[in-house]
Amino acid sequence: MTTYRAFLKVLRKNVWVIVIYTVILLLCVFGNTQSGQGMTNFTASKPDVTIYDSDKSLLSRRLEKYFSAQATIVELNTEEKLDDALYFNGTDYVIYVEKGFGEQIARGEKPEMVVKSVGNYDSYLAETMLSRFLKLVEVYAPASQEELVKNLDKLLEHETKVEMTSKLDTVALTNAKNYYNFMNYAILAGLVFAVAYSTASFKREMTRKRIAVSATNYRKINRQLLICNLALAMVLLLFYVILSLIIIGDIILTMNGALFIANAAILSVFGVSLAFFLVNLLKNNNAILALINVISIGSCFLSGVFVPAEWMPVFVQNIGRALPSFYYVENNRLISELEKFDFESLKPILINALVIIGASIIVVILNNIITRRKQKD
Amino acid sequence: MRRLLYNLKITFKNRELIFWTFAFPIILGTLFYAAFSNIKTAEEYEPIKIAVVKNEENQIYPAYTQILGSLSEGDKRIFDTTYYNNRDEALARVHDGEASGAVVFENEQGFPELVVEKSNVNQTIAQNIMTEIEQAMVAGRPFDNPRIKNTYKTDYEFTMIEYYSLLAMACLYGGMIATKALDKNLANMTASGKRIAVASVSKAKIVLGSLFTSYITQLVGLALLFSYLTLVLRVDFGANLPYIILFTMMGALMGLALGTFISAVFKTKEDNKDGILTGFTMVGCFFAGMMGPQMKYVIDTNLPIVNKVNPSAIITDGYYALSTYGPGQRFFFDILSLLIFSAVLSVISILILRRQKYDNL
Repeated sequence: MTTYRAFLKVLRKNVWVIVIYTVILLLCVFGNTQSGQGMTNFTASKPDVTIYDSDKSLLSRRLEKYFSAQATIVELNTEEKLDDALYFNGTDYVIYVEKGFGEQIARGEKPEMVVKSVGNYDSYLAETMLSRFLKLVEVYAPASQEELVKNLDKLLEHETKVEMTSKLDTVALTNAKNYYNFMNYAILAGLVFAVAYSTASFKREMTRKRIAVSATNYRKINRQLLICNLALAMVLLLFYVILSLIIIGDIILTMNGALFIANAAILSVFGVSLAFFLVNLLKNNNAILALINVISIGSCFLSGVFVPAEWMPVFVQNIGRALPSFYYVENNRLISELEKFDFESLKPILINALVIIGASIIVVILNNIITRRKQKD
Repeated sequence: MRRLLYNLKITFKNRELIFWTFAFPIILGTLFYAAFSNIKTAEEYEPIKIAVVKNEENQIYPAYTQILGSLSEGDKRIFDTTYYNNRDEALARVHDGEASGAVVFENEQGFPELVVEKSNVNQTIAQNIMTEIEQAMVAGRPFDNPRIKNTYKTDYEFTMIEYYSLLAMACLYGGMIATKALDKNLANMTASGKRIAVASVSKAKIVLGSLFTSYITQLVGLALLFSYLTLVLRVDFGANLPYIILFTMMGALMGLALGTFISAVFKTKEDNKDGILTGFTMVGCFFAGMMGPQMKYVIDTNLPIVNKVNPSAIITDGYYALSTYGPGQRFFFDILSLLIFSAVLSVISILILRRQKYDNL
């Protein structure tokens, strides 16, 4: 009991770290959450579009109405806000409707549309929407704007039917995948830091010497410390799971959700073993903090948490494969697409999980080697 | 001069300090380069792979597939089309991820359906194009290509925010050097501080000398980082080098003032002061866009006051403003903000430190 009480006392001083990384996790998740959960039918992507209408004609207003149905309209009232929005992808596509647009089309002319496109997939989608609108109105010109709008509305009634073969709530699963991916950072930074700092207090020279001369066996204390740390990892995991249930919703209570949780639990065990290893390797708390930051941020970047792995050069992806986080993130991707739960479908997930467990075992072995060498010294 | 050299020697012998202020930003810069070097190519549009189920009995199949064929030709093609004999084969490709969707002509009459497994942008683009083909066939007239002119410069890279926030982090982490330098002169922190407190030397001169050494060390670290980013990783910060140097010196000054403030205000162990500085800087850099450039935009748009008082965000914004708008109003406003914050923190630190007395040590 003494060890547990001492551990809790030390942990209370370091809980601020967990708070910081939880806040960072929540902010990352809120910044990446998609809307449209609960839909198992096809949900069309909506690009962010800004329209500056200098014409205010029937056709230009119809253009705005057309885009409000298919895109998210972003209002930006200054040039500086526009430049910032384009730079940060706050808007994907900007359309300038010049004065005389409606009249020119009604006369059968083809006015040049000035746009600003950032060149990504969403802006390409917005451009296909604009192109389609212009083709649909110009095809019946010359005619009055009222007739052009009437013909446009008739043509817009025709739309290609889309059938979804998957009955998964893909939006909810994507949100869950993003949440558990960002949890990688919270676990590798927050949990590892809390475990390392709390355990490091017991490894200080004076404390170690007092333990060595005490009646208690040092192995018993190490076992108790391990139980404390695993308990901390599970309590933190439970806390993050409850948060995910509140933020993401019922999808966490499905088989997919259970697999996300199991995957995170395996990574938490790796986090605890890594923390023990760092504490044994380095004496200095600052050095531990430095290495935790390098490992957590480095793992998150190289394993595809902050930037999708497929966007990185091949040699970087290959480096990422050496990290347990890579397999954790890959598992989250597989789980988010999983519909069947037979052995064949679960096999790649199990293999990745075994890799993470294997990494934990390797770290434990290295830890034991270092501990034995230190004891000999 | 001798004191300056001694202080420099003491600073450079501190390995953890050198790691945080010199090595860690370089490691992070390398990681950023590894993660972002391919991002522009990855975001460029690639033809969407679609699987078409053959159905010669459908009346519009020939015309429809002719149009699909024309959209699958050339360097700027929209689709990469592959034909399959039956629905199961085509759907198997969709399931494997080799095609974004399958075009299926169910009946002898009528337009095809698009069968997909996901609701992503590729599927939406495919649906849009197929809808356009359908509407063109209903209109019964050929569509002309509209005239659309893109006037946005395409050499932007929004991932540069990561490098700007990295420089911001390096500037503020330099505050650790100031914290350690000041702690050495505080009687309640170190033995040397006690000796300085009772010595008949001007404490102000000693403290200012230590802080000046810290500033020089910070600038050396920042120069190394900047040289590594520009010469080794070939990161392009634009053409305004004198303003970049000026702004970096302002950023280092902010770091110095922050480190001094933390050392003066927080009566706690050195490790804890480092933790406060690290935590404050990392959270600040997160809001400045280090873990996703869009975060800076989200905060600037929805909670602008947060980034107006966040030194990391101010420094990041200064570099961004300089590269995007040149040395204009926004850039000089950021410099002014840094000067004001540095002055305020310095004044508070001076007020706390001057004529400090201790009941016991």
